[in-house]
Amino acid sequence: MSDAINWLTQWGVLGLLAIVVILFVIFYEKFERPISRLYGLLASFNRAWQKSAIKAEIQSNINSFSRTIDKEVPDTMPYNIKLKFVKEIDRAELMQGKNLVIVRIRDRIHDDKNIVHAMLTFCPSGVMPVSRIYLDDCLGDAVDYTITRKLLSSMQYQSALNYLHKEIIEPAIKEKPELDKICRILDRLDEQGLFTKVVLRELRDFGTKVGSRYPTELHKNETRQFVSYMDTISTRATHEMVNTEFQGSFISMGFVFIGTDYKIYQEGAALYLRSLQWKKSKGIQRAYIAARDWAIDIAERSAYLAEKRKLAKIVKLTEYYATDSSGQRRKHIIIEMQLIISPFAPPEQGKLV
Amino acid sequence: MRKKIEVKAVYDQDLEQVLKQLGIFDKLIAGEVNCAVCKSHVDLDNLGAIFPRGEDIKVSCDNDKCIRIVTTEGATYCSE
Repeated sequence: MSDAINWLTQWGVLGLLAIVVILFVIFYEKFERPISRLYGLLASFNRAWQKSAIKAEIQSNINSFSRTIDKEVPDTMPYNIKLKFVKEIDRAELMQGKNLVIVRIRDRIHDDKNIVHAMLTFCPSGVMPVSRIYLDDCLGDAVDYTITRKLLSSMQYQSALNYLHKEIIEPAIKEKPELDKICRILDRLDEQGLFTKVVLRELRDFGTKVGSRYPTELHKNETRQFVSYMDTISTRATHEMVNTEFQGSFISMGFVFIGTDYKIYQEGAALYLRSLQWKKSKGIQRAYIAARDWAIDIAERSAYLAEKRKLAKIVKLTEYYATDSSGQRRKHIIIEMQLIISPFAPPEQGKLV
Repeated sequence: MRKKIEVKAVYDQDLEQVLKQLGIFDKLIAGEVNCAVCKSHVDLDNLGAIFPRGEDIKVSCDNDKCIRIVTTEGATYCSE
């Protein structure tokens, strides 16, 4: 501490300024939003600042959103967007950049269009980059629309949401009617909190497991079937018996739903441990223990006991509020358990919760 | 630090200048340019993206589908 004070007295304001500059460079991402606000204030005075304001606003909104998603499910949105305005470019320069595309960004009065187009341009390379080529085309589009809708909802940007629906999604649905069904499924899963916590997670790992193999219809079929399975799970009625496992060539997972009260009174957590054991014996690699309200404690106890008995490893435990199939907003828990340790298990595996 | 995906963009007010530099402004004004994806007519109002293809410079309209097709073919690239 005294060394630091000595150093500061020796270098004074200059030293302090140097520290501020270093911190600014290191934590630039944290300053993106205040910088965009500052440019926004200055935008009316100068054309250059107007451009900088648009750029900073788009970048800060997309980057902070993608960091949030990536924090929830690592490696689903691992990149930041960097918008680079081109003012002077000659033909030779453009021809040199083989894969170069210059996208048009409109004036500030079209901010809603700008953010939608920037995000949709960013999505194919920025969302699940490893799995992308193995996804069915409709599913890839539906994931991008859902992610973009989530971004705009988080910004409470109503005019951009309207633009996305009326000008982009609706015309796309007219061309591909199947897209409507997938968008609705993903929307329902998002409402129930399963879109990022399960769908993105499984699709991300799907890409890792497939590795660098040549994309075939088999891969696309499996992702389509997985989404259809998730739809069955999300629309099932209370106490309705559905198949809780999905076992494809690459995706291998299942759910353990906690909440049948008379069974809990009779057997406690033992019933759910048996269910995990059964899934493991069938070669299911990952299980999600899901519960809500009063059953959350049992879910946590089941996960704890499963790990203690070396039946499974807790990868991630998330508590959240979501709307259930009857439209009620309730507290939920989802506990991701790795039943079979595989080299393709998620990077979070092994971290004790 | 996270990796960045660089998206090159042209601002509305610089669009005319960039198109002139690339030598496609006059063609665009004369109505001789079509979208490389959907083949619809492209003018200054509905231009969405500019990109090289072979020895030529192509444009796409501002339809999201067309822009996405053009950009996913390799508009963006990762850089440290």
